[in-house]
Amino acid sequence: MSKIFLILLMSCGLMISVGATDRYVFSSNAESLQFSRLTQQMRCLVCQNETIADSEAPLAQDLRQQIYSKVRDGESDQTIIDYMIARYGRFILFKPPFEKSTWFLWFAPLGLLVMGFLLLSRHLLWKR
Amino acid sequence: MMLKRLLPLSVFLVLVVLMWKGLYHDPRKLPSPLLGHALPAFELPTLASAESVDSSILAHKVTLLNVFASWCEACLQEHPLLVDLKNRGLVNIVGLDYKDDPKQVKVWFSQMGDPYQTVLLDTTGNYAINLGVYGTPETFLIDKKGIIRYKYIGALDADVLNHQIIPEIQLLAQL
Repeated sequence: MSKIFLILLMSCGLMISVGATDRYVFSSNAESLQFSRLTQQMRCLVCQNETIADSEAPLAQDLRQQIYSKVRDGESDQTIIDYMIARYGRFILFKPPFEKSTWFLWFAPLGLLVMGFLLLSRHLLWKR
Repeated sequence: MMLKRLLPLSVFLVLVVLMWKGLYHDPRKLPSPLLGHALPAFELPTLASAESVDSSILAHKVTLLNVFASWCEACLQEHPLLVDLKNRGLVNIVGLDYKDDPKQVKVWFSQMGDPYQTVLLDTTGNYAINLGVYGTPETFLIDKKGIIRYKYIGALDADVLNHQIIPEIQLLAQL
């Protein structure tokens, strides 16, 4: 009875992450989460609206393998992201960075909405 | 007063221009962050021998590095242009065989010619990741100091070759 319990307890230490059709084995929950987190925030450059986590493209498989090795080596999120950006550029990240060069991108939708609202209300008030 | 009336039209025209430009923008052609950086170090076997070579084979020569594979349709299309380029003797052409079977490459060369001074074998594709390769063929120009100066993604055509690549080669040769 206690043997079974022990085996069950030990197998909880093994975390398996399933992405597309590969199976990766991690030694902790944190590693598994890190892997998912990273592969889901990066773009597959071959199938550009898919994440590296989901894409079946050979390049995505290779990059998952690279990320897996790095996660197992204990590299931080930022180190791994920097590694990818150094090779593939910012575009590999889905989320555009929030910096001066991208303020327009981030604020434009809200800006346009506010502008439209102002124009509309002016127009309606004027009509009265 | 007139200006106010023209505002919607001008906004519309600006959008038309932007969208028109967008139509011709290929999202697959991404700018490379490696431009201006040294070619990443390598130690790879070649098609000619199992002995590995490193970047000393590029020593002090302007090099065209072509990433290709025998299974890649577009590579087949650009191949004659590379053979032609080799015959013109303008640049040192080095191949990077990406995730491929060397036997197939040899068959290919016997049928279509071999434009490469050396063919580096990257069977795992791991070195190509260092070059930011995401789809073959990709072509790099490397200067005499080993710095990546130019990258072209996709099959080469006469237009790109004559208007972009050869002028760039000539420029780099003079430095």
